[in-house]
Amino acid sequence: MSYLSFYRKYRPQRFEEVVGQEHIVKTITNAIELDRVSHAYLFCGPRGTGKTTMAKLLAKAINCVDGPTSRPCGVCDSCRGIVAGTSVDVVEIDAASNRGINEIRELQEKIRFAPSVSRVKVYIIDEVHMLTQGAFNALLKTLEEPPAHAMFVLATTEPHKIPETILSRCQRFDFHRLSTADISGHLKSILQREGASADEDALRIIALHADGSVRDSISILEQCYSYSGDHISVADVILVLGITPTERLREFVDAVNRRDIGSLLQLVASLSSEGRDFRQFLQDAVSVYRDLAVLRLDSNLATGPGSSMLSRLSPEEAQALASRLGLDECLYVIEKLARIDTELKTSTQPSITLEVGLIELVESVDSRVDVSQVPDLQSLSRRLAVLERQVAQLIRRAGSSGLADSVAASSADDSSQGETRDDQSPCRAETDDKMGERDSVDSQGEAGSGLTITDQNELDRLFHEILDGVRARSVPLFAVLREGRPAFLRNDVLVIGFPQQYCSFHMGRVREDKNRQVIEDVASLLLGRSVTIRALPADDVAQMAPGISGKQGQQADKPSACKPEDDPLVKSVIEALDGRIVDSDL
Amino acid sequence: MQRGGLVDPAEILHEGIVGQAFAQRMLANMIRREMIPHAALLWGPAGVGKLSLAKSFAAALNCTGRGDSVSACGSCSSCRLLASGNHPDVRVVEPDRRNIGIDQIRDTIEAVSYRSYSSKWKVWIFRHADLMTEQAANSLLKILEDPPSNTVFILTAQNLYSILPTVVSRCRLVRLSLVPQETIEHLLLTRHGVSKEQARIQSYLCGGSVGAALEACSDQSLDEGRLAAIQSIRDLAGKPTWEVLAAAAHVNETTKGLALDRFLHILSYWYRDLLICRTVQDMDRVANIDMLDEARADSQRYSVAGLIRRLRYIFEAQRQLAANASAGLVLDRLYLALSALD
Repeated sequence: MSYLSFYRKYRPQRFEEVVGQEHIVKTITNAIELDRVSHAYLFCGPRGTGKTTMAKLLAKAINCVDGPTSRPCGVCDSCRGIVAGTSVDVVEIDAASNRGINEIRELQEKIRFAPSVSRVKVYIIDEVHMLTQGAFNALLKTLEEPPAHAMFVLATTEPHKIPETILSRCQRFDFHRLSTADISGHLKSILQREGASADEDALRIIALHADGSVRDSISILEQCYSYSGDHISVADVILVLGITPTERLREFVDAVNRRDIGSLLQLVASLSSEGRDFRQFLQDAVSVYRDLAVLRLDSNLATGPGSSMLSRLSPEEAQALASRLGLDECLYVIEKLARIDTELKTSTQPSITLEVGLIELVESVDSRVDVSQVPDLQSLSRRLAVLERQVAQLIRRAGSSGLADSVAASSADDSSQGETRDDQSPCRAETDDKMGERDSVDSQGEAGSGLTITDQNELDRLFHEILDGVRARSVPLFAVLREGRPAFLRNDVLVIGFPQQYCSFHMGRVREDKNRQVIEDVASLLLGRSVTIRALPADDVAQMAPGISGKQGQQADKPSACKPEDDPLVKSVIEALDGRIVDSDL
Repeated sequence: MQRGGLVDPAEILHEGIVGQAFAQRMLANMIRREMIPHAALLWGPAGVGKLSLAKSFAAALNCTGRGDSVSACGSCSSCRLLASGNHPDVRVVEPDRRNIGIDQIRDTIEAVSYRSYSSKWKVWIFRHADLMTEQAANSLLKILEDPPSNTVFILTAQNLYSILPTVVSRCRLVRLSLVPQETIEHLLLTRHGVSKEQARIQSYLCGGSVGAALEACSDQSLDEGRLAAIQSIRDLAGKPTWEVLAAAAHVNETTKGLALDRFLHILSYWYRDLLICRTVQDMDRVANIDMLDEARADSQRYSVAGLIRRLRYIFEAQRQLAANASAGLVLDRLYLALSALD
C-alpha cells in the first residue's frame, strides 16, 4: 500500500493508545477481562472521536488468539486481518450505502452460520443512523437475541435518529469531544514518529480548530505537514487553516475603536489580497469580541481554557483592549458581525457586502440602542392604557365629583398594579401609604367608592379593549360577548346589556362562571382594579339607568368637596418643590 | 504569503490559473512528496479554477512524461486521453439535474473497486460536492475514508459549510480564494496592456474572475452598458412614480439573465463608490474612477444610512433573482426603493 493518510496510519491499535475516552476504555477492558462482553454495543459521539476505532479494537480483543484479552497481540492472523479489513468474521457494514431492509435480511441469513476462523462473528454497523425505518425494525429481533457466536457494534454520530427500540437493546457508550490538551499531545506524538516538529502554539491552534475531533486535527496536521515540511510554524497553520492572523484582528478592533472607516476598507482589501475567507474572518472577529466581553465580565475567565482567540494576545494587551470597551458595545459588534455573516452566506459580492456591513457597523455603533434598557412594547402599551384611563377619570371627576376621591381611587389602582411598582420613588411610596389610609377612611365614611364610568363613549372604548383582550384568550367567548353593549360601570361593577334576541344563548354563555371570570380578568387588568361583570337584558338595564344619572347629579351637586390643595398628589408636589398653588383649572 | 504572480514556478500545477498560490503549492507539494491523500476537497468561490486544478492534479498523477516537474507534460498518452476527456481512470461526476444522488455514489463505489485500466491512479472528481443529497454524502463516507489503494477522490465545492461535516473531516482541505482585485488590476495593466482607468474599473466589476475582466476590456459595448446603467440610476432621483416604473420596465426588457446580474453588480458598485466618497473620500478605492466627479457630487445627496439601505435593496434583489423571482417585479420594487428621496 502506498502513502496512507496520517489518521489511518496512526489509528490506535491498542486500548492504551486511545486518547481521551478513558471512561469507555475502562468499561470495555473490564468487561473483556471479566468475560462480560455484551452482544450489542452502540457507540455514539461526534465525528472523529474514536467510535470505529474502538469497534475494531473490541473485535480484535475478542478474537485475538491470546484472547479474549484486553491486550490484543496485533500479530496473529485474526488481529492482522481485522486491521487490514480482510477478516471474514468481522464484518464492517456501511449502513449509509446499505440502508434497506434487503441488506438486513441478507445479514440475518448469514449470521446463523458459525464463524469460520474466529471465536466470535462481529458485525460493525457504521453510520447506523442512516438505516431506513424498515431496516431498523427488521434488525430488532436479531439485535436482541443474536446467536451465541455473534455480536453487534453499532456506531453513529447521530443517536437521536435511532429508534428507541434499538437503543434499549444496546449498551450505549457516548464518546466525548477531546480536550485541546489531549489533542495537541496526541499530535505531538504523531509528529515525533514522523520525525517532524512543530511550534507548541501551532499545535494548540490546530487542536482548537479541530473542535474536539481527533481525525480533524490529524487531517489539519497532515495538511500543514505537506504544506510546510519538517517544521510546522504558527504562520503555516494560520495560512493552511485560513484563519485570520492576530495582527489583522488587532487592526480590526483598533479601527472599530477609532471609528475609522478608511482603515476598515484597507483591512478588507488586505484580507482579500491575502486570499482569506471573509466568513472565517468574521468568525474570528466574533470570537475576539466574545472574549473581550467575557474579559469585561470577569478577568479570570478569559485566561481559562474557554478562551480562544485572546490566548494569541498577551494578557496585558487583552486587558487593555477590554478596558476601552463597554460590554454593550462588544455585544453590539458581535450582533452586527453575525448579521454580515448571514448576508455573506447568500451574497454574490462578498467584498462589497463586507465593506458595507463594516461601514454600517462603525456608523451605527455610537447611536446603538441598548436592548436591555427597552422594556417590551406590549407591557408599555398596557401601562399606557391604564394611565390614559386614570387621566380621563381624573379629568371627568374633577368636573363632577370630589377630586380627592378620584385620585385616591386611581392611585389605589397604581399600587395594585405590579408593573408600575418598580419605578416608584420613595416619595411616591410615602404618598401611597397616606392614601391607603384615606381610602379606608373614605370607604368607611361613604359606601361605594369604587370606580364609576357612565360616559357612553368612554364605556364603548373600554368595552372595545375588553373585547380585544377576550379575543386573545378565547375566540368563542369573544363572539358571544360582542353582541352585548356596556350600560354603565358603577362601583366596580360593569353592567353589560344584551338585546332581546341575544338574551337566551349569548347572555347565558357570558354568565357562566368560567367565562365571566375570563372577562373580569381582562377588565381588571385593563382598569387596574378588580371589576365584576354583570350581564343583563338590555330592557332591564334601561330601567336602571335613570338611577345612575340621578346619582351622578348628586355627585355633581357637591363639587366643593374638592380643593386642589387637598389632593395628596398636589400636596406632595408642593412639598417636594416647595411651591404654592397660583391657580387651578382642570 | 506569496501574492499572485510571484509564485515559485516549480509549484505551479496549472499555468492558466491566477492568484491561487496557496492551492497550487498545496497540491504541488502533495505530488512532489508523494503524499497523495485519498480524498481532497477543493473549495472556494465560483469561477476561480477548482475543476481545472483538480484535472491538472489528476493529470500530473497519471502523467508518465513529467519527470521531476510537478505539472503534467501534456504530451504522453495519459495526458492526451485526459485532454480529450476519454481517460478511463479519471472521471468527473457532476450533479444529476440539481443534486448528486445516492445512485451516483453507488455507481462510484462499484467502479472504483475494479482495477485501474492503465494508469497509476484512479481519480474520481465530484463537482459541486455541496449539492450531494444527505443520503449520497453518507453513503460516500466509508469509501472516502478507506478507498481501494491508488484511488483518489477530489471533491470541489463552493460552500464548505453546506457539506456534511463527516465528509469534510475525511478530506484534505484545499482552499481557493477570490482572485484579489489588485492582482487582476496588475495583470490587466502589465500583461494585457489595458488602460489604467479600464484596468481599475474592470478589476472591480469582474467579481474575481480574470476571464470576465478580460472580456469586459475587449468588448466596448459592455463598458457602454455600464455607463448607461449608472446614468439611468442617477436620473431616477425624485422622478414621479410612473417614470421610475417605466425605467424599470425598460431595464427588464433590455437586460436578461446574466446581463441582469451584471447590471445589478454595476449598480451596487456605484452606490458603494458613493458610500466611499461620502465617508472616507479615499479615491484609490473608488471603482468607477472615470465617474469620480459625478460620484463626489451625487454622494452629497444621500446620507450614509440611505446609501447603505440602497445597497441592501440591491443585495435583496440579487437574492430574489437567484431564487427565481419574477425579474419584472423585482426591478419595479428595486427602482421604487432606489428612487425615493433620502
